[in-house]
Amino acid sequence: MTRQSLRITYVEDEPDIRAIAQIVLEDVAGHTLSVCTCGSEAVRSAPSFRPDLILLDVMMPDMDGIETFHALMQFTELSATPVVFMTAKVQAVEVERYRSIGAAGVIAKPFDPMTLAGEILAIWQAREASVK
Amino acid sequence: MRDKLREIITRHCRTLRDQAIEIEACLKPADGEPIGRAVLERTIGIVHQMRGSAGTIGFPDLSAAALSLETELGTLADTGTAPSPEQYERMAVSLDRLRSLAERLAPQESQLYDLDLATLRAGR
Repeated sequence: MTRQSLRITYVEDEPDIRAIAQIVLEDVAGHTLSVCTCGSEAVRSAPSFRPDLILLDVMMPDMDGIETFHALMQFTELSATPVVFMTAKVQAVEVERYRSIGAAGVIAKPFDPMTLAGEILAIWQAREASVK
Repeated sequence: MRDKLREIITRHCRTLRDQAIEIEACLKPADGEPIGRAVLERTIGIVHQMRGSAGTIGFPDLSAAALSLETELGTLADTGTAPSPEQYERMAVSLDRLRSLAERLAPQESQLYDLDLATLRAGR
């Protein structure tokens, strides 16, 4: 059976982007979000939240998305959790770099609020299908 | 939900205006002088954030103007030299466009302003 409602750890430093994504993913798509304003907050909260998927902004001050990704993957309980990067840098070589370190998907920024939930669900479903 | 969206859009218009002013202040000393590395990186960070947030919050023209300035600043960062007169001119044009778009930004112009829950649920 395909699950439609996910637990998502969402990490984004820009408050208004965070607010829009939260409306789309919680109010519209019905997912449960743990919202983090920086990478270190995600590292503190994600292991106990046990997300189905982690949505990670790449360009953040202090601890960027790649550093956060590596820190999160150190936790046994998160090591199989799909991570989706959100970034403005989506040229083929950059997307390949994210995939090579283990990203399940990449969503281009600026993202479209009308399609964000669908993109995330498609990535999650593809990942689920590939591990079965 | 529409009220919540409109509140975010209205707040974000103010943020974009403030960011445009901040960028202008950062680039002011660039008139013939090299821009310090730290200032340049900070400015690129602000412009990059404007590009992403303006695009997501329904202001594609402002996002495109930010991309144009980000490209010019990125070239400067890559070369690490003072801007040539041509670069300076292009940078000034991009900055001018960004600032003028930000100054007259109205929440009602956002592509998200009239969205409701049903439309968002329907997606594209």
